[in-house]
Amino acid sequence: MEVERMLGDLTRGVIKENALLKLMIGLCSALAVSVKVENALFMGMAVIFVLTSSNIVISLIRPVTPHNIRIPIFIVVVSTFVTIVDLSLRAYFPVIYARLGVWIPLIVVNCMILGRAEAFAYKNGVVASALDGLGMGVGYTLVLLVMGFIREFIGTGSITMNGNVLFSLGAGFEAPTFMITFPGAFLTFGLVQAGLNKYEEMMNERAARRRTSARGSGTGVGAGA
Amino acid sequence: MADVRLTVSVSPHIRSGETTQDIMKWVLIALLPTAVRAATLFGFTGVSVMAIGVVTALFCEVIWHNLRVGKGRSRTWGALAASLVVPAGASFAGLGTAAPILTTAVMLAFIACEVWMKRKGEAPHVFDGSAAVTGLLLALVLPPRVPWWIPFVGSFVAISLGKEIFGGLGYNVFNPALVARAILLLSWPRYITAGWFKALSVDITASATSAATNAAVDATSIATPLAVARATGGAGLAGFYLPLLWENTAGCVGEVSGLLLLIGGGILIWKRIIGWEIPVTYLGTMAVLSLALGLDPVFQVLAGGALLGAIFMATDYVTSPVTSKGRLVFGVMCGALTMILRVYSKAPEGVTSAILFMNMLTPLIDRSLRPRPFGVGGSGGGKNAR
Repeated sequence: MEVERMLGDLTRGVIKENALLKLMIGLCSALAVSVKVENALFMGMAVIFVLTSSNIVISLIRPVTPHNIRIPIFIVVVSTFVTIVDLSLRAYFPVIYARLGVWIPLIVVNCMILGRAEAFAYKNGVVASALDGLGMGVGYTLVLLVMGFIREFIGTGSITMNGNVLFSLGAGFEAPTFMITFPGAFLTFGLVQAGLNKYEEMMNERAARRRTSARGSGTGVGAGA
Repeated sequence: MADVRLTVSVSPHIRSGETTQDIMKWVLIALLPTAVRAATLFGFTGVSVMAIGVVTALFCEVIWHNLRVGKGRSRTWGALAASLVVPAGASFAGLGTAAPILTTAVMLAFIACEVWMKRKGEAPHVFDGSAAVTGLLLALVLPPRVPWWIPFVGSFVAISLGKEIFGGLGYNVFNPALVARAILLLSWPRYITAGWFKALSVDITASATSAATNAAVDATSIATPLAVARATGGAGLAGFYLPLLWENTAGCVGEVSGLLLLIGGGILIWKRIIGWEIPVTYLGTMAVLSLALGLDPVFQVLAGGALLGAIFMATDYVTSPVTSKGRLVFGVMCGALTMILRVYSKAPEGVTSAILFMNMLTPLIDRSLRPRPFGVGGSGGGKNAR
């Protein structure tokens, strides 16, 4: 029971309540950063770290947080972790840091993080909040990776990681630069969202069919229902 | 009284016998003079751009229809895969020049097979002609010398992202052909903003070609005379009047002749396929604004994609307002936006952006200029009306 609930906290953010595709929050950075798989990966890791840590801390300081000024307190906590990420990236991955640019400091005002603090961490225990932050962060990262893969692969014809070309469609492929522009980001996001909705619809239909067929064959009564 | 049988039904109660097929047929007829003229001027390149555009649009429409209805899934996916694998395979095998022919053959074979299978039974709305119109319009706003896969990809984009993804004909927000053009322009700017060439050898736009390729370019048809006008500051443009009306300027496939476009527009207005409001206000606003800005009004109206846009693109049923008053507003704003973009933006032309932007505002125009139902409201108030 307890494990089941923890598992639910962890997996909820991945697909069922995916911040980007379902709640549609935190979109701004996602559209901007998903231009390359590499950027998406680092941005995703930064968000996972900030989200999990800030959820833990906000959940911990719940008893001493005055209700009226909770939002500024959340922001201070979030910005602390964002500063850690910012300085670490600048020290260890200067190239990535230069490319992600303003989007790392802007994690502070990412409504996904503040949203989880307000909606979940402020109302739940430490373990649940940590799992929720981790799950939400992983969901965000997955969408970013998918979008980054689509956009980089179609928009440039190859996937580059750390300066190495992982695979490429060859010089003969004239890549549509539309995909690495902002309109392309919106288009990719819409298509990924549509794809997920279609997939879930198919899964639901299949589950419903299985349920009715199981009931029908089991008792012979379900046919009329 | 009790014997009277009343039928209760939802509106609309008055229908015309006019079908989508009829409308699209007349649009195609109106485009025919321009298409034929382009074919004779540009030869094989012009014909192939138009043919690939139309065939791909039809092909894509059939695929969407089959997938939506859920019939013939496997053969539809197979045909889609074939249409993509064949050109890729051909170019890998060093048969790059055969790729367009092979691909067109695959698509035509699939379309023919579907037509044959649907011959009896259901009335296939798929072949109502709207896809053919979209494909042809897209081809007409492309430069004549583009790689064959530009109209191929463009028609796919027009039908899939411009139309079907919104739910098909009647549900699209933007003009499909212009959506495709905008995406092609962002994707392969060097093909869409270059590739102009003079149709005949009279050398009136010799300097224009280089000017056009140098200019940073926006949407519809930076027809090269516009680039010239920008480069020279608008002097001596009267020399362009005749070439713009009848052949002989560098421009998109469908911009070879203003006269034939006007004839097409005349046919459409005469057959009441389109109202006069949008083309007249669109071009009229452009003329008035260019006078106000000290530009040559005749040149501004004739040059670039203004005629094609005002007559065939802005009047699209689905993406333009339904009421007469709304159409007036729509046309005026399209014309004003076009002139603003031509004069103040970096690019020489702005018809595509202007029409796409106004497509976005169409629901707003329709909502705010709703006609007053008979007998409701009015100046005298409900009771004392009339």
